[in-house]
Amino acid sequence: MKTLRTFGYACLILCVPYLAGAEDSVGWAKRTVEDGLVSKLARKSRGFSRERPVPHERRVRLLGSAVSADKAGRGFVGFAVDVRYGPNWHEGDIVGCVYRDSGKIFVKLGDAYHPHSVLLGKDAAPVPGVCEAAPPEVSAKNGSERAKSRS
Amino acid sequence: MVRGFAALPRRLFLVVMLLGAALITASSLSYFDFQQLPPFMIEKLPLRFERLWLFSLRVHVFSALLCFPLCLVLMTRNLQRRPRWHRWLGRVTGFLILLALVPTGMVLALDAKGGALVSAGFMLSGVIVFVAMAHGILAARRRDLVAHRRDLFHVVAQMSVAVTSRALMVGLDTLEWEPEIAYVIALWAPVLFSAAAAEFFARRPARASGWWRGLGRVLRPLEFARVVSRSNP
Repeated sequence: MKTLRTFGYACLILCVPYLAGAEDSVGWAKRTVEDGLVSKLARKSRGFSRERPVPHERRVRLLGSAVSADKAGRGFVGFAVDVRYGPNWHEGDIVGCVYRDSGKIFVKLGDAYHPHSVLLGKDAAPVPGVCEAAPPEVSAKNGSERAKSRS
Repeated sequence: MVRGFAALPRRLFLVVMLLGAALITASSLSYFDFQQLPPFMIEKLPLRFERLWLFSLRVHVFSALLCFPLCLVLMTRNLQRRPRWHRWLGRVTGFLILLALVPTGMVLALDAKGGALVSAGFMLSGVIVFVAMAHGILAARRRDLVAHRRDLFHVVAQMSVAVTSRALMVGLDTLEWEPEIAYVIALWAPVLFSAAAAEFFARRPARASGWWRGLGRVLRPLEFARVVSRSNP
C-alpha cells in the first residue's frame, strides 16, 4: 500500500512539468493577442463621435487548448476577445487566430480573415487560407513532410 | 435688460451648438486622413459597397462641418439684418444640404448600426431636413418669411441632433447603459424632441413672449433700482 502511494506521488511529480508545458503551449497565444491587439485597442480614445463607446473591459479567451495546423502546416491558436459594458459581458466581440511561429494575428470580419492591423485603422486585404485548420490527414502529411525536410 | 433675457434661450442654444460643432469637428479630422480607415468605419466592416460608403461618409462629414455652423450663423440677428449676406450664405448652405448632406446621409443610413430602427430614425431626420430646406427656399423666394422661418427652424433643429445625440450617448455610456439600446434612444429621442421643439418655437411670434418676457418684467424694477442707486451714491 505504501509503495502504491509512493508511486502515485512520483507520477504526480513527474506530470507537473508536463501539465505546465501543456498550459504554456498556448499561453504565448494569449500574451501575443493581449500585447499585439488588446493593449493597442485600449489606447484608442473615442472623442465626440457616433463610434461605439470604448468597452469598460476586454478579456482574451483562447478557443482551443492545443495548437492547430492550417493547410500549409503552420501552427495557430484561435481566440476570442470578449467585451464588457456595464455588468454584461459580450462574448466574441473579436474572433481570430494567432500564429505560433510568426506571431501574426488575424481577425475575422464577415467570412474572411484580415491582418489585425485593420482594427487599428490600416487598410488590409483579407488573407485566404489562414486560421482554417486542415483536415487531419492533410495536416499529418504536411507534418511528416516538414519533419523530412528538417531531417 | 428685458430684451437680453428674452434672447437668452436663443443665445444659449447658439453657444452650446457652436461648442458641440467644434467638438465634432475636432473628432472628425481623422476622417480625412486618407492613409487610415476611419474608426467609425472599422466597426461596420465588412460593408457591401465599401468605396461608396467611405466616399459618402467623407462628403457627409465635410458638408455637415460647413453647414451646421453656417446654419447657426444664419440664425443670428446680426446676419439677418444684412439681407445680402444672409441670402448668399443661405444659398450656399441650402445647396450643400440638398445636394450633398442629405443624399450622402441617406446612403450612410442604409448601413446604420442598430438595424432598421436606427436606419429609419436617420432617414426620418434626413427627410425632415430635405423637405423643410426645399420648402424654406421656395418660401424665401416668394417673400413668405413666416413660412421660411418655420422651415429653417426645422432644419436647424434636426441638424442640432448631431450634438444632442452624441451628448446623450456620452451620458448613457457614463450610466453604463448597453450601447445598442443607448444608440437607439440617443437617436430617436433628439429627432422627435427637435421636431416638436421646432414646431413649438415656430408657432410663437418672432419676438420672445410668455414667461421669458414675464421674467424680464419682474427684473425691470431691479434694474431700475440699480441704475438709481448708481446715480445717487
